[in-house]
Amino acid sequence: MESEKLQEIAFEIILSSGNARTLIHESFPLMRAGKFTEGREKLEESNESLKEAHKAQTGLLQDYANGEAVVMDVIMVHAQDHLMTTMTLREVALEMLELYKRQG
Amino acid sequence: MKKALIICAGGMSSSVIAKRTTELFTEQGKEIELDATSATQGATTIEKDKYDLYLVSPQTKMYFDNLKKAADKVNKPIVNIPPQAYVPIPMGIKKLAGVVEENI
Repeated sequence: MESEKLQEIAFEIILSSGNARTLIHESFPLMRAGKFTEGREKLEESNESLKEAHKAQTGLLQDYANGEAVVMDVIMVHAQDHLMTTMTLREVALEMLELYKRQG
Repeated sequence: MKKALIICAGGMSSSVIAKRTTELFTEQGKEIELDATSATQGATTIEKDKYDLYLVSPQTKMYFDNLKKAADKVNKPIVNIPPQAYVPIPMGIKKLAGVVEENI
């Protein structure tokens, strides 16, 4: 696979993860204000963005499984970092939502 | 020579985009140069007031309000980069060049 194409996929992962991260951050003030339904909606929306990132990644893995040489570029490592940290943040946010509910 | 600065999460994807966009401006004989930095360094860099325009990458949109406060202090324009103008393909780079020229 050409490095240009790889870079494009990496950017797709970075953008979708970033979008998801923004939505997660928007859910925090909602949770603090006791707006649990709206907060949950933001977290659900963020999941849709994460799915987009995953789609880009799955395509890459399929090509790899089909025997296509995928050169590991540093930008792809960086994209993975974006995706994984955002997924973790979302899991923590979901847990925080439950905690805030208990408190409120 | 006019200068613009892209701010993203780690300053990595923005370095790729900044380099390509500067190359395009050079090809077109335009005196505009782009640099990149991370969101953590964003505000302190803006305070030094060495750029004519600040651009916030789509995946770090959540920091825009904070960065805008810094940009307002030095009275310089700051804009969010639309996702379709943050892709390392000729079409995306062209779009970003357009955003830069419109706002610088």
